[in-house]
Amino acid sequence: MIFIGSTRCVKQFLLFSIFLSILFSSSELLAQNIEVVRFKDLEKKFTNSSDTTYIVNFFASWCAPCVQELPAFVSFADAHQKDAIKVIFVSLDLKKDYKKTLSPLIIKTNIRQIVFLLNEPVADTWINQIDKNWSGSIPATLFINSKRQYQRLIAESLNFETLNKLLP
Amino acid sequence: MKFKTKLIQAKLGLLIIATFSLFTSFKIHNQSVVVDFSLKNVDGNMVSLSDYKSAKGFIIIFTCNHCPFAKLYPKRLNALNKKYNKLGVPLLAISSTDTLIFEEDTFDKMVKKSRSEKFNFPYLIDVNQMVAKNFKAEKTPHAFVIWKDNGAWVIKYNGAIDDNGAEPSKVKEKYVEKAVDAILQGKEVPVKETKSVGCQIHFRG
Repeated sequence: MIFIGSTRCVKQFLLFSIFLSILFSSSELLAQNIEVVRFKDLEKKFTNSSDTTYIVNFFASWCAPCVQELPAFVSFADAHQKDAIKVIFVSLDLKKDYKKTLSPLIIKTNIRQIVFLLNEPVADTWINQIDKNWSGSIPATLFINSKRQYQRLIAESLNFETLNKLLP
Repeated sequence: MKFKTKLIQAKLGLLIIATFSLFTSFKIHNQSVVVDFSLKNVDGNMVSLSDYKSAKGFIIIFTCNHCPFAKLYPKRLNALNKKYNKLGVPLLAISSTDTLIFEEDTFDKMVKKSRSEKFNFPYLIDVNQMVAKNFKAEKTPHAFVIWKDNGAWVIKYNGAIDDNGAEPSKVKEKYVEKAVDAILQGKEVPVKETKSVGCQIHFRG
């Protein structure tokens, strides 16, 4: 009797732990593909002394032209996997909305790298730090290679060809 | 006779509007000037700046229904109008979004929004986007403070409503309030322009 009871317990425990692990892993996946950052930490990711060109794409799930150009950035990143070129996706979505809007978009667009969600409410400060002439409108893409002192912000939609043309 | 004078008045009016339109991008003493408009409010009436005989200035907010950033502000807009309308600076909200792209921004839905959020200010539809173009409004929400200066409407502030859309409790700088307060006190606007993230107003070609 005791034995049967305990196997039942074990079974229940096992089922429960599987359930827990599924729950846990799915939330971990969320954490794996979206990282909430402040501007000063984001800046460090594309300003270093290596001869790498960073293509920093500012987008949001509510911005239709941004969503439209995302696939081009994904294939551009794939095409330049072996080059010193790195695409960084920066979402300007609201933190509170990410599960509802940003996560599905990342899956749908097949972005396999971490997407940085910029949690910097005072836009007036960081927008000027990127480019004084930028109004903050998106889509916008920053091309930056600190070693070559190359920095250019394009506040319009881009495609695979224009992305290649804008490389330093 | 009466008809004739009316006609002349209308012609004069048109001429003035035409000259102003030519000069919209012009600056008087380095200040941008905007022209009066006539836009349909959610109550069905047409609204113009000139309807407000005793207004010293206006808080003009380009906003819309669909934008997540605009959705953060209804309460703050009500509070702004409650505070400044009685001081002679009413708030007018204008939606200039392309309703062909954003189904959520149609006039009917604006009416519903205005009711559900209990807007205490007019919510106007800028059907042909001319007003947004005149102000050079870029996104929603995009705030302007305009003031009457020798019969012209001069832009005194242009940018964000405040410095924290997502978390109202963490707002440190109320840009619009600071601008209006300064002008009411006869002082220079401390911060005349700020940048913000918002939903782009797509202009139809």
